Amino acid sequence: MASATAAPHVHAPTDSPGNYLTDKRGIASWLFTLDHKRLGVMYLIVGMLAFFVGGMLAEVIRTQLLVPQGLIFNGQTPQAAYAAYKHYNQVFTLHGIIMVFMVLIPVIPGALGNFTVPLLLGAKDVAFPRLNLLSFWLYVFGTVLAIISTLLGAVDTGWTFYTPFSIQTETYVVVMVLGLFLIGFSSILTGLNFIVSIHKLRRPGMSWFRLPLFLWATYATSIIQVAATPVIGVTLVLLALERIMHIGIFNPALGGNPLLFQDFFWFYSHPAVYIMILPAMGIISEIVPVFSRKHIFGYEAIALSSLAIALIGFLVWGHHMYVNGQSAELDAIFSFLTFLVAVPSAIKVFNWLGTMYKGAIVLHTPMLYAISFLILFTIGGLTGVILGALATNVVLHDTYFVVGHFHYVMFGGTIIAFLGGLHYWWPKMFGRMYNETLARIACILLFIGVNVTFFPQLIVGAEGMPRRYAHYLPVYQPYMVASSIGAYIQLAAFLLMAGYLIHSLARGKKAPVNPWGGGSLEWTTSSPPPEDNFQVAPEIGDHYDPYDYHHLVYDANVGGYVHVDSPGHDAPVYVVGSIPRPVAG
Amino acid sequence: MNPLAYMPDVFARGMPQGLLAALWLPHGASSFSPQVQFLWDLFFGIAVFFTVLITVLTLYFAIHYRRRPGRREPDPAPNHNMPLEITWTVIPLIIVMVIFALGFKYYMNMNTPPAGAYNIAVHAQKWSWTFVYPNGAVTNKLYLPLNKPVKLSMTSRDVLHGFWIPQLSIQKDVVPGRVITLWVKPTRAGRYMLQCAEYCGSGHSSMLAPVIVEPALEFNKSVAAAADIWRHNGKPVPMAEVGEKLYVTFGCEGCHSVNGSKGEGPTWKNLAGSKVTLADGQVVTADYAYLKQAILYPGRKMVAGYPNIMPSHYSDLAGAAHPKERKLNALIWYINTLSNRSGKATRPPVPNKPAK
Repeated sequence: MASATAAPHVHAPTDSPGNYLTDKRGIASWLFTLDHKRLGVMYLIVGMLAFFVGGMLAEVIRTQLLVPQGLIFNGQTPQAAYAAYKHYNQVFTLHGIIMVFMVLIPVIPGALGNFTVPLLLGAKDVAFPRLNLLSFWLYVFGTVLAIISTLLGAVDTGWTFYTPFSIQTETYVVVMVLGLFLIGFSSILTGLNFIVSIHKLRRPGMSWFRLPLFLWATYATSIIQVAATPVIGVTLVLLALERIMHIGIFNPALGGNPLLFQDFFWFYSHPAVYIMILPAMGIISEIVPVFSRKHIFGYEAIALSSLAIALIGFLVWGHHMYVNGQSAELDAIFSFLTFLVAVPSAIKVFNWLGTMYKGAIVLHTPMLYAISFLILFTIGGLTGVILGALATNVVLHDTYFVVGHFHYVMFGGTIIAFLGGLHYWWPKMFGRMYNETLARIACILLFIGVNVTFFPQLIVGAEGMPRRYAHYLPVYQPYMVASSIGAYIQLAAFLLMAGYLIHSLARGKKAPVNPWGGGSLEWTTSSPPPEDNFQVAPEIGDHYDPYDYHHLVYDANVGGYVHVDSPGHDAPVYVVGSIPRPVAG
Repeated sequence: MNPLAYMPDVFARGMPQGLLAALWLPHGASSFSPQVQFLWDLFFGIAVFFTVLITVLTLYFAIHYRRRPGRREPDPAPNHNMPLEITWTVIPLIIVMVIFALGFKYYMNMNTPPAGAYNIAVHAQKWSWTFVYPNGAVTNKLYLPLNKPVKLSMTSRDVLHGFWIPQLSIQKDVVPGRVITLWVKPTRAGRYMLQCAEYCGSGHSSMLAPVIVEPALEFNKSVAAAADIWRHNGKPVPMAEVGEKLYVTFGCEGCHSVNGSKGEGPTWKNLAGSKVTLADGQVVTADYAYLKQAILYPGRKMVAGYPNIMPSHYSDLAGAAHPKERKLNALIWYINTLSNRSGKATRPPVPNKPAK
C-alpha cells in the first residue's frame, strides 16, 4: 500500500524522450510510415472524416422525417415521389454502409487498437508493420472506390444488399462491393496482425492472464475478423458475378436462392456486430477500474466471456431471418443460441458494476463515457432480448424498434465507448490535455441526444412503423419529430467535441506521463511516446498486475500520477509492476 | 391510389393513447394478439426491471463512491467472488431460457395453419399488393372475415417484400420464387393498414394496402362484389383493366412478365405488333389473330426458345359458353396497352371500353 509519506519518483526517464509525432517530418514520413502509432492516427483521421459524412447523412434522414410526406425528398405525383424517395433510399444506404464498414468495424481496432496494442504489450510495434501499412491503404482505397461508386450512381440497396433487389437496381453496386471487399481485406490483415502480436510480442513475464482486458477483447475480435470476413468477401464477389455474368446463385429468376445471400451475409455481419462491440467492451474494461481506482472485478470472467461471445456469435446469424422465409425449426435453433450469447454480455455488465462498487470513482470524461455506455448498452442489450424471442420478433421485425435497438448498441455501445477510449488515450496519443469541463458537457449532451433520438424509435417501432420509409403515416409523427430533435442535439455535442479537441491539439496543456493513474504499460512511457514506444524496455516484475493502482499516487507538480515505492518491499522503482499485489486486492 | 389519403380508423381509436400507453403494442385484433401482448408485457417488464436496476446501481455507485475529500482510496473489496459470479451467470441464463421457451411456443402456433382455413392468395409487386379470393375476386384491399382462420399464400413477382399488419400481429417476408404461407384469425372488426416491411426500392414506403376485417355476412358481400371483374367499386371498367385482373387470376403472371424481364414464357411488354420467331424458323407478326391463337391453342405455334408448357384456358375464354369472347378480348386489350407497337391489326374488334 502506497503511503503518503513515500517520496514520489517520476517514473518516466528524464532526458529527451523523443516524440513519434514530430521526430520525422514530411508527408511521405506519414504516408509510408510503419509506426503503428502513426497508422493509428491516420486511421483516426480517415475514420472521423467518414463518421462526419455518415453523421451528416443521418441528419438528412432525420430532417426528411420531420413531416409525414417527407421534408426534403417528396413529390406530387407517384412518379415524382418515387424518383425523390430513391434519393432518400440512397442517403440511408450510404449512412449504413459508411457507419458500418468505414466507422464501426475499423475505427476501434484501426485507430485505438493500432495505437495501443503494442504499447499495452510492451512491444515496439505490431508483429507485421508493413502488413499494417498495407491494411491501412486497403481501407483507404476501399473507401475511395465507395466514393467513386457514389459519384457514378449511389447504391440504393440498404447496407444489407439483399438480393434480388441488389441484382436489379441500376445503381453502381459492383463498384461499391469491390470497395467493401478491399475494406474487408484490411480488416482481415489487421486481425491477423493483432493475433500474432498478442501471441508473440508479449514482454517476458506478461502471461495471458496478465494482459490488459482490452487485449483480450482485441484478440477475440481479431479471431472474428480473420474467420468471418472472408465469407462476406466471397459473398460480395458472388453478388458482383451475379450482376455481371448472371451466374444464377442468388437470382430466383435464374434458379438462384435469394435467402442464400441473407445466410452468407449474416454469417459475417452478425459476428461483425461483435467486431464492433467487443473492442468497445475492452475499452470499458480499461476505463472503469482506472477511474474507480480499484482492481477490475472478475478479470477471468471478463476475459473468457469475450472469447465466448466471439465463438457463440458465429452461430446466431439466423436471428436476422426469423420472418424471412427460413423454416420454423431453424428459427427455434437460432433463437436458442441467440439467448446463450446474451449471457456473457450480462456477466460483463455485472463485473463492471462490481468494479465500481466501493471504489473511489473519479468522474473524469472517460468515466462519464463508461457510465453512459453501461446505461445505453443495457437498453440496447435488453431490447435485443425482446427481439430474440420468436413470437415478439414477429411484431417488431423490420420496424423502427430494430432501428432503435441496434443504434443503442452501435451508437450507445460502440461509438460511446470509442469516444471514451479516445478521451482516455488522447493525452497519450497527442501529448496534450483537452478542456475537461467542455468534454464533460459534450458527453452529457451526447447522452441526452442519444436517448432523445433512439428511445422514440423504440416506441414508434412497437407501434408498427416499418424501417426504411421515406414517408410515413401521420400518426407516427410526434415520435419522428422527437427523434429528429435528438439528432440535432447530438450534432451540437459533436461540434462542441470537435472544437475542444482541435483546440487541445493546438493549445492544450501538455499531458503528463500518466494523467489518469492507469496501471498498464502505455502509462509508463512519455506522452506522446517515442517512435520505439519505450526508451527503456519495460520489465515485467513477478507481481505485475495492470489493474493494481496502489503504487500510483497523484502528484500535483506533475499534473498526473507517479510511481512510488511501496514501503516494506524491496522493489526497484524503474521496473514496472514491482510492487506486490496487496492482500486486500 | 394515394395510400396516405386512406386513413384507417384504427388510428382513431385502436392506437395507444398517452405517454404510458405509448410503450405498448397497438391494440391487437387477431387471435395471436393476446399471446404476443402477454409476451411483450412480460419481456418488456423484465427489460424495464433490469434497465432500471443497472441504471440505478451505476448512478448510485458513481455518486456514492465518487472520490472526494475524505475519500481518496477505495474501500477494500475482493477482486472476484465465485458464488456471486455464478449467481449472476445462472439467473440471467434461466431468465433468457424462459423467454426463449415462451417465444418459441407461441411462435409455433403462428406457423401452424388450422385445417379448413379460408384461402387468399397474396401477390406482391413493386409497389402494390394484389389479393385473390377463392371465387376469383381480385382486390387491392385485403378483405378478411371476422373470427375465421384465413390462410394466406404469398408470392412475389420481383423482389423481397414484407407482409406486415401491426394490429393483426403477423409478419412474414414474401420471397420471389417461393410460396410463403401465413395464417391469421382476425378477432376484431375494423380497418387496418398493411405496410411493406422488407425494403423493396423507391416506392417501398408507398407499398401499403388497406385491410378490412368484416363480419362474415359483409365479408361475403364485399368479396362477391369484387368478383365481378367487369366492375370496380360498382362502376364498369375498361377492357384492359379487366385483362389485367385476368392476367393474375389465370396465372399468366407466373411465366409472362409485363416489364420485359425474362420468364418461362415470352414477356408481354411490347409483344403486340412485334416480330416473333417461331420454333420452325417462321417469323410472324403478333397481331390480334396470332395473340388469340397463342392464348387459346398454346401448343400450336411455339415461339423459338420457349418450352411447350402453357396450359390452355380455352373453356374459360371461348367456345359455346363465351360467344362474345369478352375475357379473351380483355386479355388481348391488356397486352396491347403494354406495347408501343400496338395498332389496329393487333387490337380486338371491340373498343377498350366497359364491356356490355
